[in-house]
Amino acid sequence: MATRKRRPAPANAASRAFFEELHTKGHQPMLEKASGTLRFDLLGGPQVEYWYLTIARGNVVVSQRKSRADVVVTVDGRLLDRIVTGTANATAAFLRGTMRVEGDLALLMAFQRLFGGPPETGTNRVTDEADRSERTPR
Amino acid sequence: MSSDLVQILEGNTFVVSNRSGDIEASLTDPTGLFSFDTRFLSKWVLTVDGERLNPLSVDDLQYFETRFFLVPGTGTVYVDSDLSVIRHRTVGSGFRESIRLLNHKQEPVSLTLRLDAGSDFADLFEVKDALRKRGEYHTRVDDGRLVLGYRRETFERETWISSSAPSTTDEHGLTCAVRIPAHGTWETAINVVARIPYLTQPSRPTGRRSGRSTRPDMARGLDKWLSRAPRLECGSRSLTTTYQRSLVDLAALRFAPMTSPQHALPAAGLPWFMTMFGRDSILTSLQSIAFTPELAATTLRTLGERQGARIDDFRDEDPGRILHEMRFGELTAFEERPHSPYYGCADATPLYVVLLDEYERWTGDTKLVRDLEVEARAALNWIDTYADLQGNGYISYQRRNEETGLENQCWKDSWDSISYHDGRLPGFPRATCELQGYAYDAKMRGARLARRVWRDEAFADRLEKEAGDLKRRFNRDFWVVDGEYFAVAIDADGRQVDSLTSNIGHLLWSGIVDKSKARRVVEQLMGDRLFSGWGVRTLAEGEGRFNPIGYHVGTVWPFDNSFIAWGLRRYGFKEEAARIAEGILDAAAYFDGRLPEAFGGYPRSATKYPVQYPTACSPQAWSTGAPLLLLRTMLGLEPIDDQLVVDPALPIDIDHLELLDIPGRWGRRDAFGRGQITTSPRKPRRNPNPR
Repeated sequence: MATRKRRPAPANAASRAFFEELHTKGHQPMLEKASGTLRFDLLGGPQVEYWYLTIARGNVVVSQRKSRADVVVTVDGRLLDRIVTGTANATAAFLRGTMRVEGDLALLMAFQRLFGGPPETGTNRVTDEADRSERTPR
Repeated sequence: MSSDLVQILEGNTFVVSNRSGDIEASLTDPTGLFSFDTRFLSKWVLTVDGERLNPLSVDDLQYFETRFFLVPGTGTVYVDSDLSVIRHRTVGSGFRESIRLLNHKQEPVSLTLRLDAGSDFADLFEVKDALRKRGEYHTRVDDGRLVLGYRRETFERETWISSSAPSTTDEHGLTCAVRIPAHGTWETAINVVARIPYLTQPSRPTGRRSGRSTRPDMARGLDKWLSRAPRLECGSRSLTTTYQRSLVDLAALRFAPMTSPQHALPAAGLPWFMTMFGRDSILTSLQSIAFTPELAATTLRTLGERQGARIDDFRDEDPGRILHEMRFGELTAFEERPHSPYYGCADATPLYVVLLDEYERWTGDTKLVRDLEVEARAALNWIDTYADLQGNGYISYQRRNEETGLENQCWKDSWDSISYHDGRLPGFPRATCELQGYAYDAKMRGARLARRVWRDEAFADRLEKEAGDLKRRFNRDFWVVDGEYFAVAIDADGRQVDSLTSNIGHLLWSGIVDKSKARRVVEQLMGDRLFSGWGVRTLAEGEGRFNPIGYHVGTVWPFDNSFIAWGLRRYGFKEEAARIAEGILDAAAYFDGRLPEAFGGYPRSATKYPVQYPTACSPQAWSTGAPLLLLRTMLGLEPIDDQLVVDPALPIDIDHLELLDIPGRWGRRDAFGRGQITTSPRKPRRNPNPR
């Protein structure tokens, strides 16, 4: 970066909201088998922002206090913002090398299910979500 | 793939070369060193004093190693060389190649050995479709090591090449100045590493190591694998060969997922499909469950980890859906292809529950069933919600990714596989019949697991009620009254897609067929229109699109037939199951025990031998699994409660058959049977020496 321009839009906002919501929710049925601590290192800001997510029996505790981690994910905060809101895909980012992972990949694999899907385009859907959820299974 | 090519592999790393060991990739010659769906070498040519080498013989030692015996010069009728060259290549995460030169002269010689190297770093998809690269190449010589590299933004792939013997390295290869004494030898070990800086993690104790090119324990691993499998004793030499071939090929087809490198699941096929495929990995695990049940466990765990969790049109992903295919290359990384993973597959999700139940019935491993309760419930939920596209209570498919998604999301996935009797193609969505069978079976088996393991009686009752209802509707809606068989599909207007296909055999396997209709279905399967003498054709003779060498419209698929035989046994048609087993196993003898993906649907009496369908990929996992499942059906192996029940029905030609040490919840058990079933009188005499 040659010259310092205007400050970009606040980075990490969506990621922060995502982590904080996880903390509030506490229990995640999808994570019942997982256990361990994930560390997210968010780059792109004035300093690296660290987030620790400790999972045990489906309960998630979120903290920014330093501790041991089983897997470390290093990613630009703006990219993680897009991943948690579903406009970018975590696996593709990992394969591309924009999201770096060190440690227990299985733990991250379990965790990534909590990331959102892309905002609905509705282009080609056969039935919409409301219709689906109202239908009683036969 | 041309049969002149030599291929070796380990996991998803493989080398395809010509018979001299050289690689010169072109559009028509898809040779190279491949790893994680990227080509790391597209040029690898060995010369001595500027001359190419000529193969005398190629020893395929194991699936992961080959030895090439070469001499200088090409094209002469006989060779009278005073120099021999032996290349011994072993695949790991890259490959290791030892090159030995033998001087047969009575005086010393000085030679120049040269290895030309280059890489296009093509994605496997680019190899198929000839696309242009967007990134940039670089080459450097680094401490005597040649580094070929490719970079597109943060995407990085490198090939590291080094030699144990002193060499001069330039940007196009390595040169060794060689001096060999009279009758002496010279040797070097070349190490080629396929390096993906951020995918392979050198620091993990159990993981793949990026700096290591071979695994010394591979040969021992194969021996252990073979010794753990049940032992087959039988009167038929060709069946013994087929069984051994299947076990070795299944070992080669094992693939360790990145999340648990110490476990393996079956990939779909070798070499181009050495990756996770939901359908292929599940069906192969089902076929091999009596032999190697640990494959099923890894398949269930790994596919569960990657189960769909969101709605994503590009990937055709829904919550609960089991993936179709996972890829690791550049086009996937940049989302130019949806395989990260891609979910466009309508059968893997119900089959996931079927496999989970079958696995528990064999192994008694209730822990895994408890561990995967969330996943199994999500899969069952997918059947009734996201998969019911038409709101008619049937699984249908229609891709949401119109550009790079799959049109046909059932196992017959080619464009013209699903057609009306008159040859027209139906629109979308399509509800093919076997999907409804799988859904029925998934519900019945899910109910069993809910009752026995999850302790959820209400859920079990609900699933059984739904299954019963589905069965009733299915036998009404799909039954073609005129012809007395099940239609291959229901179209978007609710009309029957009325061609006669092998799919009706899968319906028997699933148990969705009313008892009163079963005999008629069996008569169709074994009648002249479907049964060729070798096996059941994918599409019946007399249908509009029938073609005995059309991919899904008339060929015979060994995998398809193995499930049909299982279905026949389920409904008590032992003799018919034995006839199919015999036809397919007879065919295997013509391919040295390695069944192709498919062979021609010509009548057996017309061709005398099975005509192989030309495919790019061999061995194919579910063809490899077919003889295993056929052994199971012939012996009538069925786990009932804690016991292994044996109820043999063998074709008379087999004489006797013993399968020893069958693993399961009973520990190990033996099964024994004698050939008693006289198969069709029309069957021509077996050729004792087919090749």
